[in-house]
Amino acid sequence: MRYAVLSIARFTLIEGVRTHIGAVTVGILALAVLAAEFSTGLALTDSQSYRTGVYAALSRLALVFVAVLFVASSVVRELQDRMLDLTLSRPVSRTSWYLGRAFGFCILAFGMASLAALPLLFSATPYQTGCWAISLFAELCLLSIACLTCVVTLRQVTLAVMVTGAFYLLARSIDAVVLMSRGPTVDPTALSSEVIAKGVELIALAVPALDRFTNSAWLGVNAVPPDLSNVLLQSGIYASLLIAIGLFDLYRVND
Amino acid sequence: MSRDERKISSVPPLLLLFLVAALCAQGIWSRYLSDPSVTVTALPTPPSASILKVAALGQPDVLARVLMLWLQAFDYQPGVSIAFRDLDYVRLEVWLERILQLDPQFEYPLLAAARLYGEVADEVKQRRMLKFTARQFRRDPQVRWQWMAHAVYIAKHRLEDLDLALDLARELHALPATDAIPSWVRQMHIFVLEDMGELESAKVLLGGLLESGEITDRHEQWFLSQRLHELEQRSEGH
Repeated sequence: MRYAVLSIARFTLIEGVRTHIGAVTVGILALAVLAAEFSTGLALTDSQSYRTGVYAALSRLALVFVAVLFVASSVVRELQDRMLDLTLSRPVSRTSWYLGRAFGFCILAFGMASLAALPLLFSATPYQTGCWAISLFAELCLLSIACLTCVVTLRQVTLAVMVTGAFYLLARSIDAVVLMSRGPTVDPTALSSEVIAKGVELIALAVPALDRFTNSAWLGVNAVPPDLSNVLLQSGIYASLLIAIGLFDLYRVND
Repeated sequence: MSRDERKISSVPPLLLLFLVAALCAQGIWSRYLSDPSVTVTALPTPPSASILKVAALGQPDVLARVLMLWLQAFDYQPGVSIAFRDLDYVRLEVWLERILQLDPQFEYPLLAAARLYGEVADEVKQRRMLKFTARQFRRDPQVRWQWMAHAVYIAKHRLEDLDLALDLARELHALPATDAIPSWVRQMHIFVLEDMGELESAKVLLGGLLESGEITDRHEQWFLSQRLHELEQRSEGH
């Protein structure tokens, strides 16, 4: 099984190289650097925070978008070309295929996060940059696996990207939604408020709080990034859950 | 079960176990994680006008409206409500100015300055908003007179600073008479003078106004004549 997983991961990497995902990543990061330098040039004060803040926020969002699109298009192409059928006709289990794909996407996510961290070394400390990059890697892995799960279920690029995007939006705003559901303007005696607050709490249990990941504030002057164990543990747990959901669906699909 | 799906029994039991375990682990982890904390965010420094113009992508009027809604809702952040008076008024004023720069025809920032941020229980902040309103009024008095009129009201009744109210009202009086501006706006200084006890000045101004023929509405003429009569009686009483 290990050989099959590694082989599929290797083919995923080869596909990444052939579709020039590295060049796309470098191009997007170069645009983010330009945008950050532009904002730094316009700022009258505190230019360093503009440089790191704009670059970190833009590159984070852009790389999530690139990773999700790559996963969706790659897996849909494989499904449409019936390559999955061919693979499964060999002595390769569905679990091996799924884990191999997920592993391959995670290696690509590692490369993307590493490239994104390089420009930050000029404006933040290596420790800050390292924490930010590790968190970005975890976030990209989660989103890649989430998209893989969506593609296996939905089998369409547009739908899979939309659902993954909605999941990302919810995960990045869930803390704020929880706070708003208990906010000072909410009538705690009203039944509807209680129902909504409980519903939001229930959703919050099932969604990772991604707003606690990859924060550009970690890169500020004298800023101390938080302990990353929470980020890593959350990523591990949620990646396991997504893989389990994806495999559950993959085993039920009649190809 | 749809025709494209197999039975659940086709899923390996170990995988089902893994799924349940992962779901439980996620639930337990979410409960273990600390609750999201309420963080009060200060009003950020506004970007320069040129950055905002770039960010508007050719539609500054739309960006002005979006920014105004964001600014207005800034007092209500997730989990906490901030009083207007606790906002940083120096930054607030720059934000309002930037929004007006994006769309000078957009009157919302002036309404917010005069009626929202200008009515807080903090004299320094009220005066800042009045100065802002007066400054913006001078840039386009024919359109922005109503916010200046409200500024006179705030100076007179909220701040009880009749000198300031008179200064503002005199700026309104200096406007050329047009159909766009009601005559009562240009008469506000008379009533401020009356409140200041400057009965003689108020009498002269009101009498002059009536004789000038500027007031054409019969009801308004009657009302102002009554007011002049009252002033004369009060000054005789003095």
